[in-house]
Amino acid sequence: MNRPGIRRYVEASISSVVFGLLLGAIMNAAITYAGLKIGFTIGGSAIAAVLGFGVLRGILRRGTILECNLTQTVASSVNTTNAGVIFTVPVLLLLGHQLSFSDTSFWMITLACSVGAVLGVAFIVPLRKQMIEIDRLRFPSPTAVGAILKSPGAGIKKSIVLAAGILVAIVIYLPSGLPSIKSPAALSDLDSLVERERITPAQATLTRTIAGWIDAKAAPEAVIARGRLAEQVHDVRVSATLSPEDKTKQEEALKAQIKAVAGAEGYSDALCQAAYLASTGAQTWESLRTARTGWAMKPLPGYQDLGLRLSDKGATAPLDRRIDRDQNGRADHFVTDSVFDIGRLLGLPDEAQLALAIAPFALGAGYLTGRAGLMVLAGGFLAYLVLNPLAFRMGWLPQTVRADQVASYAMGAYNRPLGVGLLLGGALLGVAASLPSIREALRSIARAGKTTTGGRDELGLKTLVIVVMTCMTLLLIAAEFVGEPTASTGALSWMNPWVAKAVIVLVAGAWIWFAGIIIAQCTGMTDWSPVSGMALLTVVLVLLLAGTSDVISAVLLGAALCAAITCAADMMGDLKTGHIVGARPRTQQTWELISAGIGPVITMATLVLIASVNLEQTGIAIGPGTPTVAPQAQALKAVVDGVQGQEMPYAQYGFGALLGALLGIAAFPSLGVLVGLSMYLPFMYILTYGVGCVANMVLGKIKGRSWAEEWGVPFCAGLIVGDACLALIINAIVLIRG
Amino acid sequence: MKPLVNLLVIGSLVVAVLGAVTAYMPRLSLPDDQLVGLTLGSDAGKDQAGKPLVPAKSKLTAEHLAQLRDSGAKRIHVREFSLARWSGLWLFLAGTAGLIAGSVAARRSRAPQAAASQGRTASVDDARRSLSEIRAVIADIRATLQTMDAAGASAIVLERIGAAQRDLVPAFLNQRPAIAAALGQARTAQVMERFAMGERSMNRAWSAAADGFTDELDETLSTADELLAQSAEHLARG
Repeated sequence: MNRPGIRRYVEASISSVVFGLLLGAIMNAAITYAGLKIGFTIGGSAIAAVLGFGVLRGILRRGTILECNLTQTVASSVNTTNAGVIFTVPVLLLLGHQLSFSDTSFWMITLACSVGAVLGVAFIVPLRKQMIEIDRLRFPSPTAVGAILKSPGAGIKKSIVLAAGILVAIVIYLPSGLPSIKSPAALSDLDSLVERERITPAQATLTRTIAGWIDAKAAPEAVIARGRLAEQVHDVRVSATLSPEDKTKQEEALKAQIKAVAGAEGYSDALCQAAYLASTGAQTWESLRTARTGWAMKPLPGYQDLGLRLSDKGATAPLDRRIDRDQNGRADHFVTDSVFDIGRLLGLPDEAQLALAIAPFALGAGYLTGRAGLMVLAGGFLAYLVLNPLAFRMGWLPQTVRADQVASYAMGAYNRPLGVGLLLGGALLGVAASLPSIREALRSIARAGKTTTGGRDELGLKTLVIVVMTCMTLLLIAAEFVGEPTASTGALSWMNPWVAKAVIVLVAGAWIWFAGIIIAQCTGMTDWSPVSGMALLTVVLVLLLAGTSDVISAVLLGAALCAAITCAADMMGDLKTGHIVGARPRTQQTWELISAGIGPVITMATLVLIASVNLEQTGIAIGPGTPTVAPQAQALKAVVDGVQGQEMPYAQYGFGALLGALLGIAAFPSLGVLVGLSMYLPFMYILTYGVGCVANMVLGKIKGRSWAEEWGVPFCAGLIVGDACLALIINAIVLIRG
Repeated sequence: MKPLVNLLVIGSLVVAVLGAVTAYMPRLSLPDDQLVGLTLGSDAGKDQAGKPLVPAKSKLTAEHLAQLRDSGAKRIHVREFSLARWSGLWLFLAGTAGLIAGSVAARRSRAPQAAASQGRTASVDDARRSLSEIRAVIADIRATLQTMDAAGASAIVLERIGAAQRDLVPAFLNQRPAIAAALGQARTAQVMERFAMGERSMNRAWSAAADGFTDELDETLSTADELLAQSAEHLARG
């Protein structure tokens, strides 16, 4: 009720909502492009908080803490779904399907993703009380965002500490990120680049060869001949008159001719094509001076340029692989741009990995997690320092796997499947163990409005049920009307197709709820989100139920589910920030429900625009051969191929789940989740994260818990936000420079 | 007792996971009829040039197997799972049994802790005390607000609520395990839910003060106090 003369403390003003929507839309389109091109995605709450804060308070001179909180809530909900969509939908393009604005499939997939995003929010809302108020999960990044938003009232000293955290993050991360910004190398730099192992001697030789062609304005006849054929392949691909079958036939014939050209074997098609175009005058010879042709690129300086190498004192040539893994005759760096390899420095056996990622965000997240994060560290030690070396020493791994390849082999062969299984089992037990308090939390939401104090804080169950029912119906409609009608070949093939689709949608709904809980728990406890693992399982689940013949339906449902679980985790994080700054959950939940569906529309539109431009320029919609290689979607395509070829290690998922559940019974319910997460993630990030956890405990002992929280939180908020902002800037520069 | 139980759980986990690792890695010493026809998940064997003898995705034949055995390979990584081929089954079962034993032992070792009601009561009393202290701070601020201008009101809320957020709220939250042991999960949820809502109102008051919106301070703090009182009531019923 408004009282005259009282200045109300408003959360949702027009400026906060409109600016959140605008910011989210811009971030979504930009990050969709970055994700398809270089695999970079970011949830964006921290960035949105900083930008919202800077623009609303700094430039527009308006916007309270709560308005800035709503801005970041809206912006991140519009942005965050792109991770789920670009992980899944481009698979269709990679498999040769077409998407355009005039295509029903495009609109059905967009509808499904939007509906999925809203479902993710609706499903996770009732768990807010459980995770944030009762379990008090830490949510390191949202806590950092809270610290940023509170900085105006926190006093000058805390603002300085926050700024110091940002500065330290920049100082640490800059030499790690800068080398990804590259420019064509000058010939005079080549020797130095080889010396610093920035390029290989072969790349230097190729660059000198290309330079010779540029100077002579001519290339060998074989190169030009091959380039002519490569150009013809391109013409066939972009032809508007040829049928797809004719295109394939002609392309294959031309490729056979390319193979038959003698004298141009060491060169790529792209280089030959550029040389041919230069020889015809369609391009300048200078245009050969790009990374696409194989010209050596000179990165900006980074940690690797410090030249910190393992000692080769007393070693005789040729150097042993323990010192020189790439066998280039020089001792390896123990500090590269992104990793500090302590294990090699200490002389640990190669099969035991002990390396620190140079990642301030992981350090900050570890500090904010504190003691609980040690379980993740312990799980990492178990996987990478006990399990992998034992498996290697006992001769269980293929003989072609060298000691230094054990960590990466084990990750794909058993660590990741077992880790995902442990996550599932741990989460399932966690949900079972929390049932009494979940029931209590739901009762409390159902009582909303009946109590005098604080009752209307939350969206009511009735509203959520209506939203869920509507969304499930829309999802069913989208699944039914997408693609060509195909008989199901999956586990439900014996059912009537309509009933089968309805069952799949129901299972999908249950899975959204469960996967949303897992992601929210993981980010809540540790800040790490196993979203790619959950997305992978989601698509596997859908493919198993729907069958592998109906890939469009499977991808549609997979995309909807991925959008849902990313939104669920984002919602919970935003609600945690809201709790810290005192926002009303109902306002955040309402706006997140409204804005979540917008994100997929922007992502899908951006995707189709990019695919259209690619088709016009290269004849390929997306993937290798285009500027947007879609790395995540390629990974998922491998999974789709794996399911189709019966290659998934289902038994290991199951064994992991059993162990996860047993661990939860033996110790505490979420232990399986923590250990699973540590097996699922690369150890170098876990180790850096663990250093943060230990730093928190040590500081707490020395200076007191209160001091460690009061000053540690703003500093670590600075580390997380500084890292995220700098990564965004560096990736933007990389994209702009092409 | 507790360190021994932890050791049992960790050891059992290592053993079980080691067993699980071998689920898709049968021994080459198995008879041919159990291995022929399986699909390789990874390259197998190694020739003198370091190249794989049988590449991944190959369907295993008796010749492949003979070649691999001659090369000294002990296991292969295949895509198909079978209990009969799983050499680590016993390790996995032993580890699982160890984890079950660890669970039972952990529950038994928790029981005496739960029965130590003296300590538990003290902790719940500590929680009650922390709650009272927070409410006292709020009451004190509300009394002071009547006599202050907007700037003064903001300053006092920022300082005193800030101190309560830093010291008193964590002190209460530290007692959660004791509250759960005393009241059970459902009742603890009621205590924590009301407490969290009150805490959020305090946080809101802090934010409003930081933004200079002082008109709502008293109302927000009054809500916080009421919710914390409800939390205290739930706690007292224990």
